[in-house]
Amino acid sequence: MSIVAGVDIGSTTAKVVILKNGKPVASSITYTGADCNAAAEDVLNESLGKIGADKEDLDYTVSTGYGRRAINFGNETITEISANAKGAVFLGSENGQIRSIIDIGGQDTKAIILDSSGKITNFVMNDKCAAGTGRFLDVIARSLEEPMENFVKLALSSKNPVTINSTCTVFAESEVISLIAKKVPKQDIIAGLHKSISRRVADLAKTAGVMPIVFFDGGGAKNPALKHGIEKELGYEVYVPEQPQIVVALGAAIFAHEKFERQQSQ
Amino acid sequence: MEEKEMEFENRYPFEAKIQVNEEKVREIRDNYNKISSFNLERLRKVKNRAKSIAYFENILLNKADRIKELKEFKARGGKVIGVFCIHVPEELIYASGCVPIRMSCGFYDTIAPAEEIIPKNTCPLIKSSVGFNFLKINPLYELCDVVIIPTSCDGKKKMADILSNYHRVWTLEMPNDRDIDMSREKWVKEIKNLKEKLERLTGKKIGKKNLKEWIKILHKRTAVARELFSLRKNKKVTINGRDSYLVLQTAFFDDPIRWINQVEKLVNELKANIQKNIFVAGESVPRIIITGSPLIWPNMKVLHTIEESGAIVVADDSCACGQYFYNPIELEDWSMKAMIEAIGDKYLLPVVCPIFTHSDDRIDRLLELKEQYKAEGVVYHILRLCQVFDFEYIKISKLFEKKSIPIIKIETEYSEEDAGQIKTRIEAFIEMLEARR
Repeated sequence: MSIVAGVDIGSTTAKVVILKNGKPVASSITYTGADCNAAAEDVLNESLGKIGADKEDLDYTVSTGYGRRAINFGNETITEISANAKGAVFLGSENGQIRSIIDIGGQDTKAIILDSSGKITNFVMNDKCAAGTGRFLDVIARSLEEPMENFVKLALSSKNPVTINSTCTVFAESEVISLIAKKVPKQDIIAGLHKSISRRVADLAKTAGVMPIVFFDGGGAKNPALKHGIEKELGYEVYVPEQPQIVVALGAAIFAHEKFERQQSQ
Repeated sequence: MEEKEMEFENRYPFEAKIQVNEEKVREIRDNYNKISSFNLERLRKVKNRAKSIAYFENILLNKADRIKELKEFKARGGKVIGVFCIHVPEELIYASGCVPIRMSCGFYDTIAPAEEIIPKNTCPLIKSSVGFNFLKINPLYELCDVVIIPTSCDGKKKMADILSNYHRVWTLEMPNDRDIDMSREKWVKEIKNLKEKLERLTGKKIGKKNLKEWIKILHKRTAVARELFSLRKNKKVTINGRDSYLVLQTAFFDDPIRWINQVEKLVNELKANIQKNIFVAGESVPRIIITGSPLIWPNMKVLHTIEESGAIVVADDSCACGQYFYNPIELEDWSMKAMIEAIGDKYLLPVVCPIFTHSDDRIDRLLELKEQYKAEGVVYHILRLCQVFDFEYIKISKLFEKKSIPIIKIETEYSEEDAGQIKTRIEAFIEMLEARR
């Protein structure tokens, strides 16, 4: 019997997936906050608690995400790109073989291209700026004083999305403020923002060589308006797994499981 | 009258208002030394490095001896000439009795002060080089009697105009399309012009014997540099990419004959290490080629990241390293005319610089390096706003995709603020290379 964990410390949230004998048995998500080590400990303990285990029972732990080295436990680290591919290939899609992954996280947007055997052939990430990421939508939602759920509903209800040109979070925010001043309906502004992000994400994916079937994950995949926008830009449907936020942690856990199995057989 | 024509014309020179007090300059200078030392500390973490590297480390960190030497040379009437790019024929400069010093810089702190006299949207190499020299952070700059700037990229062209406010500048007119006869003729003419300018500067003719001698000396420099590079063709590697860079960067300012001797010593030690089975990287280490915008000391960010993430840089086509002394001059006939033409050809035809209209030669060179050095992937480094390299990336990446050669574009500057993101990308790239095996 083996128990392994994958810990994904993102810029906004920390995620854990626990595998027992290679099968996912528990997962948890929390906000990363200022102390990512504490967040990682908490979320790991919470997950382990769900199966009545504790840290002593862990055979192998792999950490990933931008804070992968900032935590003081774990056997190994891998990048979120490799982990994401592993997780997505493991989950698969109902529609057939996955050839691309689009991931919208808090701070990063990524496009990963896979070959027919599930190996990465190319990947592209957004620049250091936050436009086109989850953080961008958070900032704007806050300045429009709308909770995220409403925000998405409003986006889907608009018939006349405005065009937002700014490619920088700071400038886009001021562009939004000036649109409010011009009394442009809120839903049209929000829909315009989604459209602008979707276009940017789709362009990034196209430069990487995106092809169907596209697996859409990360926190951004929980936003149906983004999914719809990206599909419109790409011209085909994308597949969103049941729990898009934990795919990377799952990939890290699978990596941990494989590593542990290999060690045992030696 | 004639004397005036030689100079870069600037009828409206301006004064910079940059308020940089002594204290600030000292701070920037200290920081430069700190970053240089930190670079060396990181390099020293590598096990089994050759001991002869110490010479190059020392002269890079402490230029006082070289400065003293050059000051004495100047006291005897010698002229020191600052040069940019790899298009300036050093054979001619040495044969005229002058000493060239390469002036480019990769130091972040000199960028902000330079932005008063250089537009913000300029590549960091140009901004840093201007700041480094203008602020006199680089003590070698003050020794320069003339600065020669080839009209290579737009940044260099305009830098000539800016620097001419504060320094004596000569430009070297570069052709854009080197594949046509007219370019070659024009370029050879420009080399002849340079010869005359140097002769007027020193008041002495460049003799046939002297020029031949210096062609031979610098030919040897090419040979030892090539030998040093070719050692990394081995399956197990005795010198990594960072140390190779370090060695080549000291050639910017070191005495060439002493440099050749020291590199020979290093090569001998490395060869002995191979015999003794002493390596810095074993067979399973992922092998990477780095290409794109040149990395200039102390900008080692991308190189450190690659080699600290478990890969090794086996080759590059950079004008500051692998391509710096790559092209030899081959001559049968040692007449002045033949020598001048051969020098012209050396600095034009085989130079894989993206300032030229065609990029196919550079692509051929990369493919050749990939084969010879058994590289598994290519890191394409672009300094933000270095347009010429950015342009060529598109053609190269499309071709490499077709050929299934993994390539990753890393666009960055001199600051450390994106070090985390770059590390993630490069680590993922290395994981990808390993998964492909």
